[in-house]
Amino acid sequence: MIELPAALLGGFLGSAHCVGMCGGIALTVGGRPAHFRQTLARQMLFSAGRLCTYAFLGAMAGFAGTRVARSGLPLLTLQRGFAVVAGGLMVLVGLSLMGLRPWRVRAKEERSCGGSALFRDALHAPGRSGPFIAGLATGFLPCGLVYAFLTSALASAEVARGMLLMSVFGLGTLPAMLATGCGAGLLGSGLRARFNRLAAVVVVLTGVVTIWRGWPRDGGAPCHSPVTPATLQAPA
Amino acid sequence: MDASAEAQTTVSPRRDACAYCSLPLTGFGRPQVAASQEPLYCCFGCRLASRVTRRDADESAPTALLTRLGLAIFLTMAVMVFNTYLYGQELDAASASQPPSAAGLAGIMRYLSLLFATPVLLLLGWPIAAQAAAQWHRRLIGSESLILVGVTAAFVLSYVSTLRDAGPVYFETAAVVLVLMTLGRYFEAHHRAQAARMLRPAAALLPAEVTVLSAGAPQRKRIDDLAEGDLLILLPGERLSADGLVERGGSHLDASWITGESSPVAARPGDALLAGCANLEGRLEVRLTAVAEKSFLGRIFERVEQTRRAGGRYERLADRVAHGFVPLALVLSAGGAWLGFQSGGSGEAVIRALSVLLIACPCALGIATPLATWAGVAAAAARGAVLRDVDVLEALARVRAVAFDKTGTLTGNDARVHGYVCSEGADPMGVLACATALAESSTHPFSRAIAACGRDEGAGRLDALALENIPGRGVKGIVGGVEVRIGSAEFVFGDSPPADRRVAQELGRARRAGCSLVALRAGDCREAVFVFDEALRPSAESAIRAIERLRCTPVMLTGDHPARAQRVASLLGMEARSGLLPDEKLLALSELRSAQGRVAMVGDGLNDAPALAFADVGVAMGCGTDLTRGCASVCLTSDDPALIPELIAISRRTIRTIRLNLVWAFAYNLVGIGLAMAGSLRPAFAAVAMIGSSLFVVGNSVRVGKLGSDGTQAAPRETAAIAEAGGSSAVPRRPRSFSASVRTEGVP
Repeated sequence: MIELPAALLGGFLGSAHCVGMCGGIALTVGGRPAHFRQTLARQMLFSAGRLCTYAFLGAMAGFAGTRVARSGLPLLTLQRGFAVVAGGLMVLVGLSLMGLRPWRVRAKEERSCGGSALFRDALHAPGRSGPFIAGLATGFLPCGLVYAFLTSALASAEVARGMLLMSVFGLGTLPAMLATGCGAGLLGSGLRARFNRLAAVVVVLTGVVTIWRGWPRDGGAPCHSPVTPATLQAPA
Repeated sequence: MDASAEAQTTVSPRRDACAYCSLPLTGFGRPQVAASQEPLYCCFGCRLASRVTRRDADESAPTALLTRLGLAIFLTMAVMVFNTYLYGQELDAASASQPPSAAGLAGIMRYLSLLFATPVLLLLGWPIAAQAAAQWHRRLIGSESLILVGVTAAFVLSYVSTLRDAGPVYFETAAVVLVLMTLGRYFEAHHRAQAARMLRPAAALLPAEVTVLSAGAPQRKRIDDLAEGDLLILLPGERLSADGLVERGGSHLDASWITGESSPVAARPGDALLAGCANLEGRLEVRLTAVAEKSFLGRIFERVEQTRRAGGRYERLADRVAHGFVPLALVLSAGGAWLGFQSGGSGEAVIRALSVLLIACPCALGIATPLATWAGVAAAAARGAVLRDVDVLEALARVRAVAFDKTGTLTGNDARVHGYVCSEGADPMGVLACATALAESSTHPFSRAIAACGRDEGAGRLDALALENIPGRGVKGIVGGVEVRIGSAEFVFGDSPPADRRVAQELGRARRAGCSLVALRAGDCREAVFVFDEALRPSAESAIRAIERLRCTPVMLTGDHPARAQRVASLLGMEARSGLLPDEKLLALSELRSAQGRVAMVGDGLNDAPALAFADVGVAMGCGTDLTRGCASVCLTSDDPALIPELIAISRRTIRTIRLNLVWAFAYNLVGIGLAMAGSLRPAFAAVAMIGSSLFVVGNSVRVGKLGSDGTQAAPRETAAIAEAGGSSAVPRRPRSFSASVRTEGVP
């Protein structure tokens, strides 16, 4: 069960990085600086929206993991192999977050699309729903950390666990995002980079643990698998 | 004239257009013209998007809509999570390893799904229902009605299953389809509207707002609100949006869009200006004399707009197909339902029918043609070419030979001094100075050419006295105490030949060669002959080369003297047929047509009107303000021959894009329907695929206007100029994104 604390820690440390991208959105969501309570409320709604999306994505990843693990191939090793692949992916994502990229990733510039129009509308909408919807949408934004823990959720191969994992990750991002959104000064860029490096280390470690779980050893199913050999061998 | 009457009938059928994206409305049925002023929309995406963007009308509308949408997305996410459990149950059912409580839990999950999905239907179903109702009201059945029927069927089936506690439940599918459809249609409408705006030549040329002086104070006004008599302030970098008279200030204007004249034109108080010229330097105050559709630009845009609305052959084809698609989709979805029922019962039947209805929506088909033709028409208009109708694009694309008239087309109307010969012993510079002194008093093209030659050669300045201009013959005056005559040989020499042998020889040679000439005699001893040639237009040669690159044959057909025609033709490296009478031109054109294929005739539209009317595409050059040269199917406001290859390239590209769009839309529908009927395409994927297909068509069409004659070069001079103007004017409200996109295209 090391993934849950890892996700919390990864979210917490990584959110220093998130502040760079999502922080800008969070600042836009915030109301007038004079009304602290109003701002806090809007930020909570925004983060609640993000959490909902993370939980949803986690559930979907877990579900996809289930489908892959039970895809009808009666192989005991399938889930393990899956865990190894997922863990390997996490290590890769972690390394790329550290800046050690084994492949070239094209930096994606923010592009204007129809979506951004709706997004903009949501950000500036005066009501309560605006921040929440912006949060829902922000959760879908491409982000290396989210991908990393989604991979972990995928490897868990269980809906509830995937959901829990991503929720915990989202909770981890709360402090930094709330602080930023409520007007606390952004961390210095040097400090942010260091936090980001740490988050990447956490991701890599989680990946290694996942690989270790799935690594072929003598006998027994992977530690947390709800799937018994009997269910796996049953014809689908 | 017959041709103009025909032009009128071609553009007359106006169709109803969407109030948001301005694309034509399609659907099944016999639409009634809307009696009320209620805005009409082509799809519910446009209905939604217009609500979100229409801020001024109702402040709360966008927020309410976003709340709806956000809530629906949230609820749908929850329903999807519940559903993962149900799916898991189904998988476990096969292995028979479920705990006893699982069945009860599954029931709870179903009710939860029902509880969460029902609001989604209510929240997102209404815009679809409103659109369907609006279409019903106009006796139309659009795709919204189909989708509504499909989604409602899925819900009803799921309700029944949940209450009976048996059978399939499709709350998740229905909710996801609703969310995807709503979001997708919204984005699609947004993109379509953006494309349509970008493809409007007015938007590309004019600012959205201008400054007027009212009671001495400057005031911003939308260009739609301008009235005759307004005093408009035209700042440097701005383009004039209406016709007017300069009241105060002085400046130079870029009128190249109107006349093709690339050098700046001076503007002083009292000068009349046409809409479309751009101010280069000083501040001008202009009293407007004709605004909106009465102005020069307005008339052009009105014609372009008419052309767009009328649509062409491809559009009528797509319309007919789209019209038949609704009943066909119903039949096919019934077929899919039957197939589904055979293989998987009522649940499968509903899902397959829904998939077919979603994928069979002829949206991409509906926009495949109009957007691409608009892009072509707008790209042409932005270069100063007004097409009579959309079908001209197709004719232009198929042109294999381009016939040019010579004078005023390949050559300018201005003459140029080719050379001059003066009598033995006379100082050539002195003779030239003499000629210049007289020529400066006249505006005749030959006089201007001599004056220009004198300036270029650096002939000294002499004063002429007692100047007398005899129209049609020449000028006489006194220079340096002797009488000087300059003009036609008859005027200068009378009936007797020139006294000097060299001058007499040159006169005879020039006459035989058919060259234009001007004679001069100063006193009794000095004589001269000036021989002129026509100045090629600067872009003529590159235009001919570009036409050859497009694998078209350029030919010159002229009524002019063979020697003169041959000289110009050899300069340009093209074939020439000269000395043609008007009906011989027609004969030459028909020979060309049988040898090469479709022929375009380029002329000034005045003395070669029959040839322009006879050719497959008649291009009238230098129409300037006169856009109603009925014989021509294309009118160029300027007289730049380089526009011809550009036009051909644009039209070829347009037609290619239209075909690609149509093939894509048909193929996509065919394959999609096949997959959906076979049960391989789930409704959620069908919804995504449909939106993706429409966006592909939109993106494809927008690219038409972005390419130049050789297919790679970007941004024509106008758009580059607009980019500058957009940067300097204070209110680049809408055009801003456009100018930005132009800028990026400029970078290869």
